[in-house]
Amino acid sequence: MLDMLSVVDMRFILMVLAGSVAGLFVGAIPGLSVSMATALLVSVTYTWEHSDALAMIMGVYVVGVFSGAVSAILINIPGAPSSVVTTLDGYPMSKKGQAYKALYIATIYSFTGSLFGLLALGLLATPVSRVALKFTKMDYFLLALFGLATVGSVSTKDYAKGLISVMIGLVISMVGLDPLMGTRRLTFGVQNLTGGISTVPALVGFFGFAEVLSVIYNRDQEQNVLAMGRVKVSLKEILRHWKLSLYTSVIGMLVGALPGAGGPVASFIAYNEAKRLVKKPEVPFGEGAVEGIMASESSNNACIGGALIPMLTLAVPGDAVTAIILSVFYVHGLQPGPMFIRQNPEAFHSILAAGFIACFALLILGLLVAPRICKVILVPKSIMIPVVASLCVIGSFACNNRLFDVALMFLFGFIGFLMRRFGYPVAPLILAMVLGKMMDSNFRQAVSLASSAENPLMSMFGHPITVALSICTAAVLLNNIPWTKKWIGCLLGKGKMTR
Amino acid sequence: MKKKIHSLIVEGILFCGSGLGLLSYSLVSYRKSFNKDWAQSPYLFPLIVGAAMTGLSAWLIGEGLTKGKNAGEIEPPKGTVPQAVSGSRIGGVFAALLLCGIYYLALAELKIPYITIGIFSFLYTFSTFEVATIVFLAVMMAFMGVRRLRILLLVPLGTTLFLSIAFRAMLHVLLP
Repeated sequence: MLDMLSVVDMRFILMVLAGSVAGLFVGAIPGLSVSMATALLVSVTYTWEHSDALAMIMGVYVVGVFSGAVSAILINIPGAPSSVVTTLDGYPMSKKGQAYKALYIATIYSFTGSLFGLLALGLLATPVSRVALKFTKMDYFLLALFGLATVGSVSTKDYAKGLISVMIGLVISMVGLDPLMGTRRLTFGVQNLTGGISTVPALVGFFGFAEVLSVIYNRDQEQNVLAMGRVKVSLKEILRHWKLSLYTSVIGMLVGALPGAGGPVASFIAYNEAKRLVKKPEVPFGEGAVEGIMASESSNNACIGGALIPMLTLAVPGDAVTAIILSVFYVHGLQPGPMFIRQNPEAFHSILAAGFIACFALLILGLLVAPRICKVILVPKSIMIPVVASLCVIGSFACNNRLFDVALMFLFGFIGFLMRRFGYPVAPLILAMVLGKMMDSNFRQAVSLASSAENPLMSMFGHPITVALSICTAAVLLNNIPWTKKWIGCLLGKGKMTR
Repeated sequence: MKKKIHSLIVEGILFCGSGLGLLSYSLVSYRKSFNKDWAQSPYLFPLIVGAAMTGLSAWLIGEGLTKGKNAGEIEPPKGTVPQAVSGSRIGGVFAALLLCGIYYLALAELKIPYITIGIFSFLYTFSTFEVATIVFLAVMMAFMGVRRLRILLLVPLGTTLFLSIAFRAMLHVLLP
């Protein structure tokens, strides 16, 4: 792991710091999201050296995930989806005049969570890569399918809507030349679609422009920041919960490593676990419990390292941001997968080193700058939204230098806006879009190979990893379809069948 | 009084149409193609996705019917418009889209030659993007409710100058 020091120089550190500062503001300002900033950065950084690009993006990612807690604590609006749970105890603490203490706790445990996740990435990535070398074509297809089935279930209450989002993403990924034969599909004679739909305009549209339209639709309430009372917080008091923090960090890392699940799911699970384990908190959960903030922040930041494990070793992103980071790899001609760490050690070290530097930047920014930016996060939306709209135009144009992508971005933005309004999650769509081509080519190659084998079914599903992945995928699907869920419950004797 | 059509049913019908469209596209394209082996056909995956989407839309319609029955909601015939979108607020979204459309057209159709201004040793180049963006930002901010003239002038100018210098001059990113 110490090999990562070979990529660190002053320029690298400055890139991470610049990304971290950007991440602090982007994550803290409601209406701007880490996914959106990363998507915009892809279009800017595609001409850069990949170590510079990864340094800046990791800075935005690590600090951006934390800084969602700043607005969650100060104005009761989570700056990022993974900070929703932080509002439950963070804002009540602020109302009691303990905003500074809440921010302090959020910073410390975000730091430990991020550090834990990245350590796990450094230690587990190579063993996972070794296992991934044994994957067949069918396994890759099933793994992606498992990820999409999972993200469909965790990102929305209505599983059908989650899966519909996945289907839309797959349809978008199919536009253009097919990955094996080079046949045009779904282009309908539009020349600009022959090369397929670029990821960048789609990402900028679904995350950036859709947000612009949502804010215009909501035209909501400006918020007031609560007074920042400076309360002395002792280190002993902070570190009292280290065992629980370690446990919730493990939860975060594991949930992050699941393809499709991410920070919001991890923080919900960790919060519930904290509630279950801490029987008598000093302040009840939901009314300003320190344990609540700690569980949420350590788990959602531990997700970062966890989500990068399947992304780097299997090319299956753990969440929306890692899906965007995956597109950065493709833009720079890097191919994540089982051989990635062996073939591109410097890219892997860049990610690790940037992550660790960003952790320390998080600590410094969180303790020194976050308490002072409370007025900045209230930039009027009437000024911020037009600026974001023009950034979306620049971001979508910069990738291929064609205005057609800007038009696509507007279209995807409107579709993204409608999806949000009607309760269709965008994350499964993005994951499906990124994974679609890989799924298509692996599935067809697996079917082609099987069709020439003596026993096609055994050829496709006879491998132990394939069997395990098939069972996992079937379990996720069956456990989320309402009528099969009833049957499973009945079979396991958990309850009576009800009509 | 007519029974309300649950928004899930409308969405289900929409996705059912899309799924069936994809299915028929795959089948028709497969028939026209030379490669008659489904295992290698580029239309196999669209066919599966189309079938899955049709199945999921049936699920949505089923959910809509159940929820509609349970809620027993009653509504005038206009009820096909889903509740998630309210008429007055969606007008604002369409107005913003119209502004963005005009901005896009200006970027695509207006051809202002590159003009370079030299201030001591500093050269600043501006063109269609800068002019269109200043106007777009000012109009969009006015649309969003900014009324102070000073802000309407200074913020678009400052932002465009910053974007132009940061992207064009420093990051060497081509601008529209």
